[in-house]
Amino acid sequence: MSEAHDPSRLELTRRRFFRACAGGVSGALGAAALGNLFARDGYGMPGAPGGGPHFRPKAKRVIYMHMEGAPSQLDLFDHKPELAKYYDVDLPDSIRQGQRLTTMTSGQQRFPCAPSIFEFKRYANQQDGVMLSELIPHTAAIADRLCFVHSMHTDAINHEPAITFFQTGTQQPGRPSFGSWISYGLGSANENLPTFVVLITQGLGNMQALSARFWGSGFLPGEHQGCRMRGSGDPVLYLGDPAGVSRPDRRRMLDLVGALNRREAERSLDPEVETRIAQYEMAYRMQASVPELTDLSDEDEATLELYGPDVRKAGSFAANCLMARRLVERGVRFVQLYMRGWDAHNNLPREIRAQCAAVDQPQAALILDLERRGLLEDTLVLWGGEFGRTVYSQGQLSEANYGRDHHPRCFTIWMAGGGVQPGITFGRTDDFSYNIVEDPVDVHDLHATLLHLLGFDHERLVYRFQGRGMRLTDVFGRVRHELLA
Amino acid sequence: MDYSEDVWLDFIGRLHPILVHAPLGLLVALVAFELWGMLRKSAAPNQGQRRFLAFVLFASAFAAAFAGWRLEEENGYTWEGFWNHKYVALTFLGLCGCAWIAALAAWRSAYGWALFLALCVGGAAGHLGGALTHGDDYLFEPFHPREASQPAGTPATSDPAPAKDVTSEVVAPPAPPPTWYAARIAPIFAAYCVGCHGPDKQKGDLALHTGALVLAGTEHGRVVEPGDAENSLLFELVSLPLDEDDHMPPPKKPQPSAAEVAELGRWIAAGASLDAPLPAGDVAPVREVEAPPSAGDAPTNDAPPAPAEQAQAAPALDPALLAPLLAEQVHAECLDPAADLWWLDYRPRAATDDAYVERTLAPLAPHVVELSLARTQVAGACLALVATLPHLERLDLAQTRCGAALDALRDHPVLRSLNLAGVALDAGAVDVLASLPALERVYLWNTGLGEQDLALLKERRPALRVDSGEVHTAAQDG
Repeated sequence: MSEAHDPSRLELTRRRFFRACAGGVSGALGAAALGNLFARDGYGMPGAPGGGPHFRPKAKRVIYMHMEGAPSQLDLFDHKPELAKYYDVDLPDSIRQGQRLTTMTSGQQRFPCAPSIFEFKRYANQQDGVMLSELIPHTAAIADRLCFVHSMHTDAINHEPAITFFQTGTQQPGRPSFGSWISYGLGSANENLPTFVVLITQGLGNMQALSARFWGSGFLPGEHQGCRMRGSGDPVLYLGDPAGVSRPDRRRMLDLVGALNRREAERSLDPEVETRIAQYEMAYRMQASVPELTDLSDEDEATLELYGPDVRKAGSFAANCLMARRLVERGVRFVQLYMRGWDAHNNLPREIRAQCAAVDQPQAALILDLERRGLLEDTLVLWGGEFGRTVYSQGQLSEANYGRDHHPRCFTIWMAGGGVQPGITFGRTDDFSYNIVEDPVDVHDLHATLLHLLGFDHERLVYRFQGRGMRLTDVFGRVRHELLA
Repeated sequence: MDYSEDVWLDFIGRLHPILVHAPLGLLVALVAFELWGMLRKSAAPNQGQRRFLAFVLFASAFAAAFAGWRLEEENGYTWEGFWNHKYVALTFLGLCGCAWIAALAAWRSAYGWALFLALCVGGAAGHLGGALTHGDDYLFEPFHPREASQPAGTPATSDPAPAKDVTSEVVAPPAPPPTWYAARIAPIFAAYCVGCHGPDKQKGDLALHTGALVLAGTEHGRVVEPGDAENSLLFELVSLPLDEDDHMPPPKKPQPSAAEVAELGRWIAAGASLDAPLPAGDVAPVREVEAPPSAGDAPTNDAPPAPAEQAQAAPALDPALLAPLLAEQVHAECLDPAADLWWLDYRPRAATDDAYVERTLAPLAPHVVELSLARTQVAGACLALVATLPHLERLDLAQTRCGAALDALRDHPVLRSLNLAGVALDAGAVDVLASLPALERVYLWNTGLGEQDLALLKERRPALRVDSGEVHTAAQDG
């Protein structure tokens, strides 16, 4: 049988072709495919595989503070004074409207309303003020810089799919993370550091699993995946050369390994080999850049104080906020901060107090520090959980204690900087903070709006995979211009 | 031992330099036979012999071509010289084929012509092949005067006398003060390195015949770490003992003197700047070779064009202009594809100084809409150029020493946002800021400006958003 008619060989060729397209291997096939998608007056962005912004961006980078476990909007942002009258009264069916329950509360006999025990005060913003909880005094004090969206809603009711939805635009795992899309679209602004960095703070309340795939690159080339930096010890493991290995030695070793890997890449056309090569090289460059990054000796006392006493505690939210500023200052495109421990099914008051004490001052300090350094103007800051929490108590309700279950139908997030309208609140919920009554914003809308601020038409930031163009917003999403400055 | 098919194919490829001699030698013999036959009027080779020899000619030419093809497969030649050799050699093969067919058909004159043409073309193919292995100018090199092998960049030597006249009397541009790089460093590279790391060969993917290439290094990384000779691969390899495997230049090649190596180290340690002037009054020139000031940069045309020309023309930005910047970690990003407006961010290149900014920014001037110089070494001299950027809307000078030179920015027509956080300013800055008609926002945290200065600025420009870094917080009411 001649080669040309051997179907297995044809199959191999076809597969290789698509893999080459998907991986952008060695520029040739992949670049040709992408080149068509992103052809723009004859040239693309140097260093930005996705071609760079489509139009003039307001923001060049993102700090996304994800509150993993989902903080209670009722106790922090969504003030419901009428609810006091409903203490220990069952949630009316007219409000619940048959909403599905998680298995954690579906067995409950009653769904007694639990008004927040925390006091709210009005803080000045660019409108007629915003009511905010006593738990977050520092954040409340900068309310004139923040844009609160009270009308977020999501489709998922459990942590994994809900975080996956926020991070990747779909509930099923496997799609690229938001940060990976930004890395792909904008490229690196500093070759010595990863484009997408993840920092995690362990929570003080009930914690849920945090999967590394939340910052995975899905079908995008592996160099766009988030690089997790550790909170304690070496920020990146095995970054230091062993004793006796000089930097030139390391260079020669990498050159040799690189040459072998390139041969393998040419043979197999496997994009993962290219990823591996890129990661080795990134690690080599980070050997020089990370010690400078993590050396805080150039921070003055006043700045450290601004972030609060925890700032010297490695891995704390304060330390990670400071690190986030240092990262964006050095050109990192997307910093993902995770604060764990918001999943307060029981003992919410105690847990949320501890959580807020850990995040309130640092997150406000981050905004102020970015602002005075001129960075907030083009840095987009986003704060929020993966869903909200129920108005009815999970477990025993008392005057001093209650718990709240997962609630996807409404919750609050806030944004700042990077072209976001400062000092406003957007959207409204009913008196039980159970249903949205005005201006619902879904996760796709949020993604579309954030991409818009970064200079992308969300319908044109596309990567071809499995036979169709893939987007962060899939086939949904609209830009919410009401939120833009 | 079992060898894969590939090994044998590669081996056949390596036979190419041997096999090519067979058809050429045979051809000379065949032509000689025919000439002899013509002179002696006798049918020197008879028809059968001629057919057989013509077949052997074609077969040997075919074998040589096949081996050449294997060699190409193994090495993947891409440059133009190779294609010339390949196509001329294939023409030669074709002519040998013609000769064989003519011999079979007993077309005497066609046979003779084919042999004659094959001889000419075969000679050319041989020469081009030789050029591949020994360099373009191999054949005629002995005719060139000795000066021709001087460092790249010396003036053309073909007609020395008039050239001398022109340069010395007619044009005679005022010689710019020689830079350290041009006067001392480029000649070292030219004398010891460029033969293998230059325009003709780039062994290890490294070329050293221009300053930009020296700093760019290879695709695997830089060989020169500005400010850090110890960690510069180039310096390390040159400094290794001669008997080390990795020593450069290779042991049998001419070696730089200890003084030259030391000079190289000093230059790298001082920041490896292409613009730094000669350090005053230290060691004498390390080489006798008289190099013109731009010796290192002359042979290629990648030096940025003069600023004046570019600023006037404002054509679409040529991405090639960005390559040297990107190679040195300066970030360039097209923020507005429709208007071709770019953001240049020098922050990742910490060693950036005024001279570097002036040199690299000038060609891009019409396209810069945002410029970040924060945390670099600039001290203000470059602001004169920055002030001429016609579309500059955002300028970030945070934590630089530009304060004293701020006056250069006075009256800039479109500057909207100016970041001076951490820049030491005096009261005169207020006047400069107030003069900027389009300014909407200025960052003045940690500048040393007093409350009076800030109050004066707010009075003169009430709409200007001044961020002095004061932690002002939103008022609250119960």
